[in-house]
Amino acid sequence: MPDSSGHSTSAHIDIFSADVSSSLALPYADNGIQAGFPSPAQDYINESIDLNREIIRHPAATFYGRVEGDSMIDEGIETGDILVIDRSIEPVDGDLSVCCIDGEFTLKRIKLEHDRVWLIPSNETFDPILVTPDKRFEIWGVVTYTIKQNRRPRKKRHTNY
Amino acid sequence: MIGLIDCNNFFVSCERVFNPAVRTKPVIVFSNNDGCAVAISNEAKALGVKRGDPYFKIKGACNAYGIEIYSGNHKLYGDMSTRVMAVLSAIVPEIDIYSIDEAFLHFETFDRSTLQSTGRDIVRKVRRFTGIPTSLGIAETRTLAKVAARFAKKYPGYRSCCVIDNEEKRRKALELTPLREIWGVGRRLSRKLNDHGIITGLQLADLPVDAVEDLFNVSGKKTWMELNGSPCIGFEPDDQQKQMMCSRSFGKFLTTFDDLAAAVAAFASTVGRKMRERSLCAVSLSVFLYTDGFRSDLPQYYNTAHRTLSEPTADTLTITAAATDALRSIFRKGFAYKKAGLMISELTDSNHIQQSLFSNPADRERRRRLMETVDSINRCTIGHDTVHSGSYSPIDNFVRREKPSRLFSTRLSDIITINCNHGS
Repeated sequence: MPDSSGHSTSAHIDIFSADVSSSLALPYADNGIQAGFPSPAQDYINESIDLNREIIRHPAATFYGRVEGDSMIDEGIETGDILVIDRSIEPVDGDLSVCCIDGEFTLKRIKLEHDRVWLIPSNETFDPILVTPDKRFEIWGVVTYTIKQNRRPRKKRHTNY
Repeated sequence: MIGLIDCNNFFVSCERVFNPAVRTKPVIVFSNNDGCAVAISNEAKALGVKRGDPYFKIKGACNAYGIEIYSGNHKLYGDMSTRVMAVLSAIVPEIDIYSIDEAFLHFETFDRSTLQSTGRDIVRKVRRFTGIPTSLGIAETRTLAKVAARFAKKYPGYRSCCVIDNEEKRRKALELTPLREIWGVGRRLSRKLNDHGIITGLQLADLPVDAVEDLFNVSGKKTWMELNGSPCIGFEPDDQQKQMMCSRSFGKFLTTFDDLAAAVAAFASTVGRKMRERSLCAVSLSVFLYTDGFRSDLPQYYNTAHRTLSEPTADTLTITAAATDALRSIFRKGFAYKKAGLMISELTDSNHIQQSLFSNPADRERRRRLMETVDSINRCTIGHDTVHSGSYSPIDNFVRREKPSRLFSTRLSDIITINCNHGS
C-alpha cells in the first residue's frame, strides 16, 4: 500500500480501483489448474452435451407430443414415442407434421399440392387423407425429432445370477 | 409509437391450443379461488355468460348449452405467457410486460409508415409460434394504443392490428369509444363525466384544459393528455387484476445464479409490499427468465417455473423462498440472461387467510409469521377489518372435479396425445 511503504523496501505496489463496468467472457475448461504439460483434451472446451440445446432451436415455439397408434409405423414411429414439435417452422411439402383435423390431432407426412393438402400415412393399411374444404384443418406444428425409448421399462422379475 | 398487444381470451386460448376439439365450442375457465368465471370465450359470451359469474349460478346453463368448462390451470397459462413474451421480445427490442396476457411494445425505432404490416406480422408470428391469438394496437401514447387494441380485437376488418397514426384516425377512434372503455377512466369518474354530458372518449379529449383541471386529479389529467397524443404515462405493471407482475430487462447480461436470485428477491420484495398494501395474498407464483432473442449468435433459452404456496401469503420471505426455489429449478449455466420476472398468477383476498389459520394448527411458527403478515395487512388498510371470521366456501374443489386440464407444455406425462389410429 502506498501509505505503508515502510514495510517494503524494494517492491512497489500501486493500487487501482477495479473496473467492473465491462465483462469479458473467458472460455471455460474445467480441468483444474495443473502444473506441467497441459492436457490435450483442454483444447476441446465443452462443458457437456446439452440435448436441449442441440434439439430445440426455438424453445418458445417447441412443444412435445406423444404418439398413440401405428399409422406411421413404417417410418419407425410407434405408440409411446415422443415428438419434438417446432411450431416456428413454416411447413413445406413432405414435412412430418402434427395436424388438427376436425378437432383432433393426427400425425402425418403432408403433401402440399397447389390447391389442396394430402395427409400421407406410413402404413399400407391406412389410406391417404385428402383435406377437403369442409374440414376444419390446421398444421399445428412440424416434427423435428422423434424420441424413442428403446429399452422399455419391464416388470421386475426375480432372477438368479 | 407504442403498441399494446393483448392475448384474446387468454386462458381460453391456452386451453384451445392443446384441445382443438373445443376451438369452436363455448368455453369458460373458472378461478380456483372462488369458482367464478375468469375467462370466457366469445361463444360463451354470446350465451350471456359474464366475467365473475359464479360456477353454481351458471352450472345449469353450462350443461344445457354444452359449454366446456375448465378450472384455472395457472402453470399452463404462466408457461404460455412466457412463450408469448419471449416471441415478442425477439421481434421488438423493448417490451414492458403489463400483465399475464398484455405487453407494451416499443416501436420508436421502427419505420412508421410500415407499422401496420409490421404489426400484423407480429400477431401472425405469435399465433404461429405459440398458437395464441392476439390483438395489437399502435399509437402515440399508451392510452391511445389501448384504444387501438380494442378496435383490433372488436372489428375483424383490422385483421388484429389497428394503428392510430394520424389526427383523423385518432378522432374517429375516440368518437367510437365509450368513456368507460378508456384506460384510466374508472367507473366512478366515467359516471361523473356522464353527468356533465361527456359520453365518448372524443368529448373527453376535446375538453379545454381549465375544465380538465377542474374535473380531474393528476392522473385524470394525464389520461386527457394521452388521449390528445402527448405521452405522459410511464410504465407501471397492471396490479388491478388477479395477477401481479414484476419483471425487468437487465442492462447487461446476467449469467450467474446469484445475480438472478438477487433480482428475483428484489421482485419478491416489490410484489410482497404491493400485495400487503392491497390486502392480497399470493396463492401461487411463477418465475420466468429468458435470453436475448436478438442475439442469434448466443444460445437461446427460456423457461418458467410455477410454485403453489402452502398457504396464501403476502410474506416477502415466503415469497422470496418460493421464487428462489422456482428459479433454481429453471436456471441453466452457460446462458446470458436478458430478462427475468416474477408473476403472482393467482391472487386472493386476504380474508381467505383465515381458513389456513385453523386448518393447519400444528404449524405454530408459520402461523406466527402469518399473523405478522396479517397484522401488516391490517395496518396497511386502516379502517378495514381485513381479517375477520367468515366462511370460505371451497367452491374450487367443486369446479376442479369437473375438468382439470393437463400441463401440456411443461410436464412430460401430460403432453398432447397424437392419435395415429384413424385412417379415414
